[in-house]
Amino acid sequence: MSKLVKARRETLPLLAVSGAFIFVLSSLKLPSVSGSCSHPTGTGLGSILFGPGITSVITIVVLVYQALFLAHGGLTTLGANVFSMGIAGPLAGYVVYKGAMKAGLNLYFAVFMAAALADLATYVVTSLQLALAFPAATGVLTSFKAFMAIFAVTQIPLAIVEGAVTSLMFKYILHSRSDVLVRLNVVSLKAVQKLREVSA
Amino acid sequence: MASILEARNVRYSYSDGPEALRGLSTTVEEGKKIALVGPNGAGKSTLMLMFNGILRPTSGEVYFNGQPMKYDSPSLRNVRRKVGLVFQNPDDQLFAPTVYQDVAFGPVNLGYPKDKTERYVSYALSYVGLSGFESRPPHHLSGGEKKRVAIAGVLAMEPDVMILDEPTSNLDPAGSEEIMEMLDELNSSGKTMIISTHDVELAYRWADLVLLMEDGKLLHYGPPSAVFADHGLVSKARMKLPAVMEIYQELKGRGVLDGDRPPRNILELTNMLETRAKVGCPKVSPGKIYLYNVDRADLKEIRSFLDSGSAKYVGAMGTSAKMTAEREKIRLDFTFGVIDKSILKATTGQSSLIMTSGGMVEHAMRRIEAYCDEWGAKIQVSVLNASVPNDPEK
Amino acid sequence: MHDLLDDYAQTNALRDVSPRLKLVLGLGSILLCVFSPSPVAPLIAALTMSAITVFLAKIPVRLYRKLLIVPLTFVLFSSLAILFVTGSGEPIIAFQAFGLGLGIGRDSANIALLMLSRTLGGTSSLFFIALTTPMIEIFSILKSLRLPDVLLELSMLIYRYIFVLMDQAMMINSAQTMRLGHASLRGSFNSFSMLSGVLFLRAWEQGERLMVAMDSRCYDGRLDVFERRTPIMLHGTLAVIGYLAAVAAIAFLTRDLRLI
Repeated sequence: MSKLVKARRETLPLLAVSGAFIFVLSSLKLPSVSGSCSHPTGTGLGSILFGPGITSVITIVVLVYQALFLAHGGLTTLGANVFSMGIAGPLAGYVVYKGAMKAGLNLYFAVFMAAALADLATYVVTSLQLALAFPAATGVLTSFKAFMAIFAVTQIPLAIVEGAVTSLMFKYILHSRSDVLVRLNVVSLKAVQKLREVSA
Repeated sequence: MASILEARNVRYSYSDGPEALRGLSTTVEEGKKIALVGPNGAGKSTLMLMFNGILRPTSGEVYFNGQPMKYDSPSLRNVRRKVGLVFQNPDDQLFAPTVYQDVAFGPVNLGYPKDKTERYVSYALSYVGLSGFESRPPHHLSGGEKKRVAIAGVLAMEPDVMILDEPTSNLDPAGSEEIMEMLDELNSSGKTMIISTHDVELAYRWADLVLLMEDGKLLHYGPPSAVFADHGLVSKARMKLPAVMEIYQELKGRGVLDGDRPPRNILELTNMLETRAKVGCPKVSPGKIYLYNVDRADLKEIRSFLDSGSAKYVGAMGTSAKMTAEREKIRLDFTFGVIDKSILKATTGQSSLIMTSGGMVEHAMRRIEAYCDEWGAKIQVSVLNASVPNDPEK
Repeated sequence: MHDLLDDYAQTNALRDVSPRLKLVLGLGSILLCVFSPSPVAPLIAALTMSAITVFLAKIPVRLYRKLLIVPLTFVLFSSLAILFVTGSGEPIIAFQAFGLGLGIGRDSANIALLMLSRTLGGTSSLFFIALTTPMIEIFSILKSLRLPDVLLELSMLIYRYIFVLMDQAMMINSAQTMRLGHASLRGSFNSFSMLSGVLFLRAWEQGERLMVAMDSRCYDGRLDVFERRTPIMLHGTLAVIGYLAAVAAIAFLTRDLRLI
């Protein structure tokens, strides 16, 4: 946060619009596969673009706005959400993205994995939190498994949708303004040129 | 007159594109109304950002008040305070959650204490006619209101020069007339005004000087009647002639009109035609124009004047006059282009009353006087409440 | 245009009541709901807060009902999960399904009921804040609570640009729908990705322009908060204190009460 303060003259406006962007993104309905209505979390995307630290700060602010503007979640669950969506999600997304890039995987696939796993990580942590809050008679593990089972059914398809959408979105940004991604250190100039060559 | 802003052979290129300015030199004199006219991509916005110190020329120099502009932060602060910039899209400019916070942004960052900030904000908001809008969030305002808030935000810093990028874009006709009139009012209080526009009609009748640009270079700089007389340059800049000018040139070509001075507006064109047509006809005796300064308002007086029926038409110029009229439920016939319309009525023998405020009274008198000199008309002008002393300025 | 709760908060009938008072009432009621050991107090809070929101603040009932559906379905599912998962205490229902012995224990029934009531109470209290207190007034309270300036400034700028980007997202969405961008599942995947991509780039460009806008007005790291002076009314304060005390008392008195 203190680093943020020092650099804030340049970064504050960009952070602000990014926060607004993540809010708006998370208020949009994902194309529905099963007829259910759901929203993207945007945390995977955020951490790929801005790193996990900044994404956490932004996500916390966005979570408060979601509670107050869209009636998503509640203030009581805010603490839990800050951890699962604000910290665990971005961290998982970041680690997956960096790892996949190091392993030399295709950029779009890396983005897909990062966004999907960030989404899943959020729900794994949520299950863990619920399990800790409501332990079963036979122990925390049993209830964790049960909550996981419930979430897995609903969340795995959603995570795949979010991953796919994020990766398509990346493709779009890369095509129209790759310089933004280069400036954010998301991809190197060389990688952009390589991708351009492939698609050309 | 002293030059307040000057560009000497400035060049600028954005990192991802060709040169936006290619060696442009120009001088802006203090107290003038200047319109930058040119097609998209001519470099108008770039020049404006340069005058505010946001962009630094890649080569060449910008002078402010005769001094070369320096780009260290204290000097920039000074320039940005004195040269206010209003963006084309108010959503780019209004970033605070409420109208109050947005207008207060400049004063707060200049380090003004709270009470001074409040005073400046309420002054600026009342100037643009938005008192009482303090707690509104910008997304609950109309396009015209947003534009006014943007102007108030700059006004609260008391700039000497105001630069407005496309001030009338996205506004309805009455809304843009009101904004332009406000710019006139600000100019008559001594501020130098610079606007950019595609609207040749607007530039033609509003500006003292037109700066025609194309492809990062200056094509022509001079009075509108001179700039817009040059067909070739105007079409080179992908602009068209103002309608009044076109009609004039057409009529001149057919020998209906002569003379070297093209009309600036409908009023002048009408007069030229009338003088031609009525040679030998008996002239109607001109009507009167009454001026009323709402700053020194004794409203009973204006009621009884209106009841007497001396003026057939009533017009109001400027926000405070319009607000007074609304408060007093005075029906207005003219809300924009008021002076011209009143003169037009006077030449047909009818009298009108113009409600206005502050320096606009003198401005109106000068304007009518200039008209009379030029056209040999004899319109009587009287200020209804000249004897009452003026209120001290804020 | 945008169906955000803040728009209702701007125009609700309790707009002129001191925001501090409303915040104390809402937050106080949330805390009581969280800490109440029995479901009685949270249920009472849920009823009263909903009544205040609908009758005093004059928020349309239809909107309120629509808002409640989302958390309600969520909490119903979670309670069901708790009901079966934690299964402890003396069984009140037991049956065989999918070859498994499932049962609902008395304890888990009580836990599920408590969670249901807490969530209801908390949600309606939160809705009370969200629907009666516009964000712009919460900023000045946060400022006086010494929230770090950076965080406050960030929040205020985010607030403003949420509305700008929201409008743009709607416009892009209509433009896509108009040209049948959402007619098929495949199409809507593409459209959605493109929308979010464009929106990101627009946001980015907006950020670049915002930087210029702030710079051109001498930005020096200071953004004032707006304070509307709303007098704290004595009877209002007393009513809030009285109400919170009453709910607290009910929570205390019913601490050992179990409904099942």
